[in-house]
Amino acid sequence: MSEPRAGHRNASPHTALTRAIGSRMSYTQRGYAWRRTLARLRTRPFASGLTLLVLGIVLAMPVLLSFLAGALDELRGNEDQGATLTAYLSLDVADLDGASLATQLAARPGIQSTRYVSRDEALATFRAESDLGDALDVLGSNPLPGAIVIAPERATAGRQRMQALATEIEQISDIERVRYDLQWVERLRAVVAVARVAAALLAGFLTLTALLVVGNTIRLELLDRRSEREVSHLLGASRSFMNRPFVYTGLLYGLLGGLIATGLAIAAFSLLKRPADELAGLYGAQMGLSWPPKALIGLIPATGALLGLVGALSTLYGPSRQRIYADA
Amino acid sequence: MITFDSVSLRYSGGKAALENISFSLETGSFTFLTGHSGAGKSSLLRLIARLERPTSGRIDVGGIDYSRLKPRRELALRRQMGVIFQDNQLLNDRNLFDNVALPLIIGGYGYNDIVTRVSAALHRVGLEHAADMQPETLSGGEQQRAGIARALVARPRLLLADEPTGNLDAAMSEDIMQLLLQFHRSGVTVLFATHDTELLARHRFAQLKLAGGRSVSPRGLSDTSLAQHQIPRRSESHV
Repeated sequence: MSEPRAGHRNASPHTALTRAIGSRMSYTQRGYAWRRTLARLRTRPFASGLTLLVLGIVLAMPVLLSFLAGALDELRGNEDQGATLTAYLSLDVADLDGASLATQLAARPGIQSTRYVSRDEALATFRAESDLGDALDVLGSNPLPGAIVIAPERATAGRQRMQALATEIEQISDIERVRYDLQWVERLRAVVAVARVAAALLAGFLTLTALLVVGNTIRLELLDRRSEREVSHLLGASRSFMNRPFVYTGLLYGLLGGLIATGLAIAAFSLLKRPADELAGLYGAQMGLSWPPKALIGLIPATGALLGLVGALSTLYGPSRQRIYADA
Repeated sequence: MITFDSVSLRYSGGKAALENISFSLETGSFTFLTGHSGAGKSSLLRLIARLERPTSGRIDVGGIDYSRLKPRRELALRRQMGVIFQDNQLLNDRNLFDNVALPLIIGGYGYNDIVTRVSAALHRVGLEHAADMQPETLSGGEQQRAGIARALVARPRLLLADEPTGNLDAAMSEDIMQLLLQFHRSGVTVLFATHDTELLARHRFAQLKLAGGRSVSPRGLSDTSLAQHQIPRRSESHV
């Protein structure tokens, strides 16, 4: 038995009591549970920190994947919306006729809008966007045809429907040919579909891992706080009273792990965003990866807390509880 | 107040801890539960505290037939008892005040009530000055007194003491004994398990002797009525 501390032994009873008594909240049953939970985190900062980091990393992956899936969905949606057909007119079609044809096409079902691009406008654009402008001067006349840019309705988007629309428009006498380039959008859609399934599977596995991490942490805590449980049991504590600090521990680990995961996922997304935007630019996309909505980001710590709670409850009240209580 | 009627306890390994024990203790009595190590003293106390269930026989405490006791009532019953252990079982992750306050938190007492009762209990056992100290920094005798304060802070009518002086020298044992006698004088029924022969010689209270899990009739005392040698009750306990 170690010797008592001399300083405290000389303390007046009133001083000692004043120092000893905690806050009003900490003597309620829930306050007591929170106090014990926080005290455990404080007294084992390294072990607690490591557990939180593991949880944060495990949760960050599905979070990042959900960020990416959402951003790719949005990107795909934008490309679907931005997909257009370009109908090139015969060289002898006058601007007035071309514009009139564009108006007629806009009235057709399946077409949302049209825009007539005159031969002069096409030439000006070509000069501005290519290095071959000077070469056109050699030709003496404008070799570029007028064109009608056709934006189909959203319901018409999709490779087969666009193909059908293009064939239909090509039948019109003043139109030489119709060009559309949706292959990369189709490929992106397929890649996103596969990625979504893979992400869902990975997210499932990682969520299960997070549950196991929390469960195992609670199990170790149970073993470590065996004497507290024994004493509480002898003093007439109910199982819910004894389990409450462990439930709160799971909740807190989940919440803090979720916050760490949010930070990690945002950092990783920031790193990925720039090269992804550049890649999207190479495919002519008007916009790259966009940030997930704030509400989704806010949900992550809450989801982490829920996972922590489920992990703790399943350990304390699930099928393995008899074995745990026998060990503890 | 406590009645055992042909009570036996056999653990799952088949070993009989208690066999055919019958006795009756009156309210307000002070009784020694004696016997060598392994005689069944702790098992008997655990049966009273409802931490074990008898294999056969009937136990009645304060008019409550244990065989008809529902699980929720078991906890309430346990909260009405004070239990002191040889190793005091104080929790080293909190100060003395919080250790003593634990039964009251479990019982759902209010803040003011907790502060008043714990302060009074610590004062009663002479540890008010050590309220903010960690248990491991106290001497063995002080720790045991803190254990007594915790056992009595909820003002139980029954105190079960399992070898509370087992690790203490003669002077400290007597100190603890005097403290328990104080509480007994204020009306608490005490069942004190010990095999400290010196202590038994100094304090001649009724004895329930156990040997090999069986009750042995104590010399000069009946093991079916151990109400003799009670100290008259005083006013209500302050703890």
